[in-house]
Amino acid sequence: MDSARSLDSTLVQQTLSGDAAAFEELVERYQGRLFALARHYTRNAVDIEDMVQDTFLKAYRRLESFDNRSSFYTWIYRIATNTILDVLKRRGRSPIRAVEDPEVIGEVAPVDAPTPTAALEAAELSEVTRKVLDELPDIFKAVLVMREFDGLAYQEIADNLGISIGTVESRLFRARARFKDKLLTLFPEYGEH
Amino acid sequence: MNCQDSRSLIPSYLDGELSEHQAGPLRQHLMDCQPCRKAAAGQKALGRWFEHEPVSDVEVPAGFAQRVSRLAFAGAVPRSSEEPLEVAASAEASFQSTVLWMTAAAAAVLLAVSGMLAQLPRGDGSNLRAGTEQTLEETLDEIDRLADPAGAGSEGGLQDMSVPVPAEDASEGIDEKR
Repeated sequence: MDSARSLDSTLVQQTLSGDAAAFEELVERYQGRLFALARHYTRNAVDIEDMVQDTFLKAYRRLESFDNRSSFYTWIYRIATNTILDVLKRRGRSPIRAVEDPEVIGEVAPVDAPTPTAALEAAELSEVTRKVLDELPDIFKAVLVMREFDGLAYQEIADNLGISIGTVESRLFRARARFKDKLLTLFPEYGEH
Repeated sequence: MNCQDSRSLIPSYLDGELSEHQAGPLRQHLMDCQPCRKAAAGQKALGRWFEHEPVSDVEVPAGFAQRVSRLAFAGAVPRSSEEPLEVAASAEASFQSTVLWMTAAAAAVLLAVSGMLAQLPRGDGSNLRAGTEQTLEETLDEIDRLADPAGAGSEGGLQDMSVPVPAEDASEGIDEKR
C-alpha cells in the first residue's frame, strides 16, 4: 500500500473512531478533484458545492463499507458520479432511456473527427471542448469524462455506472459520435481542414 | 478480419481495451487497409480535444472541509440521498411510531388517574366551596340574574347573548361538571 493509500486508510479509521478532524482532512485531500469532476457536468457553482458536499456526506454515512480494496478516491469517485448524475436526473436532464433507445436516436453515422489546429491555445481548446460537452446528454458526458479526462478503464466505468462493459463500449461509441457531430455543428470552422 | 469488424474494434483498440489476441489481427488489418487506417487516425484525433482539462473557474469555498465534517458528525442527511424513498418512509414510520407511543402513554396515565380518583372517598358536597365562599344556590341565583335581562342587579353582562342560557340548563351543566 503506498503512502497516500495508507494515510487515507488511517484517516478513515480515525474518522470511524469519532475523529472529526480526520474526516476534515480526508475532505481537504479530495475536495479539489471532486469540484473539478462536478464542474464537468454543470457550471452552476452552488450546484457544484451541493453535489460535492452530498458526496462527502454519503461517504461519511457509508464509511464502514470502505474496505481498502480500491483507493479512497476510486471509492468516493463512484459515489460522486452517482450523486451528480442522480441530481441531474431528478432535475429532468438527460433521460437515459431515451438516449439509449436506438429507435429514438437512430443509427449513429461515423463522422470524421475534426482535429484541433496546432495554433489553438490549450485554454481555447478546452473551452471548445467544454461547450460541446455542455450540449451532450449527461449520460454520454459521463462516459466521456470518465474515459477521456479521468482515464478510467471500461471495467471501472462499468462499475461506476452499474452497466456492462458492452454497454460502456456502445455508449462511448455513441458519445464520441455525438461529440464530433456537435463539434461540427457548433464550430464548423474546425471541420474545414 | 474484414473492415466491419475492424471499425467496431478500433475504439477499444485505441482505448487500450483489447487483448493481444484481439489486437494482433486488427493491427494486421490496419496495415493492409488504408480506409480503416484513416478511420483509426480520425478516432485518435478526437482524443486531442480532451488533452486539456477545462480550467475550473469554481474554487473550493474557504472552510468547506470543516463545514462538511461538522455536518457529517452532526448527522446531516445528504440532500440528494440515493435512498430518498427509504429514508422518507423510515422517517414517516418513526414519526407515526412516536405518535402512537405518546398516545398510548397518555391513555395509560389517564386511566391510572381515573382509577385513583375512583378510589377516593366521595363527599356530600358540603365541603365544596368556591374561593368566594359562594354556595351553590347563591351561584345559581347569580346566574339566573345575569341570564334574565329584566332581573334585578343585572348589568347586562349576558343580555347581548343571542341564545341566553336557561337557568335549568345552566344548573344541569354545573351538576354534570361536578
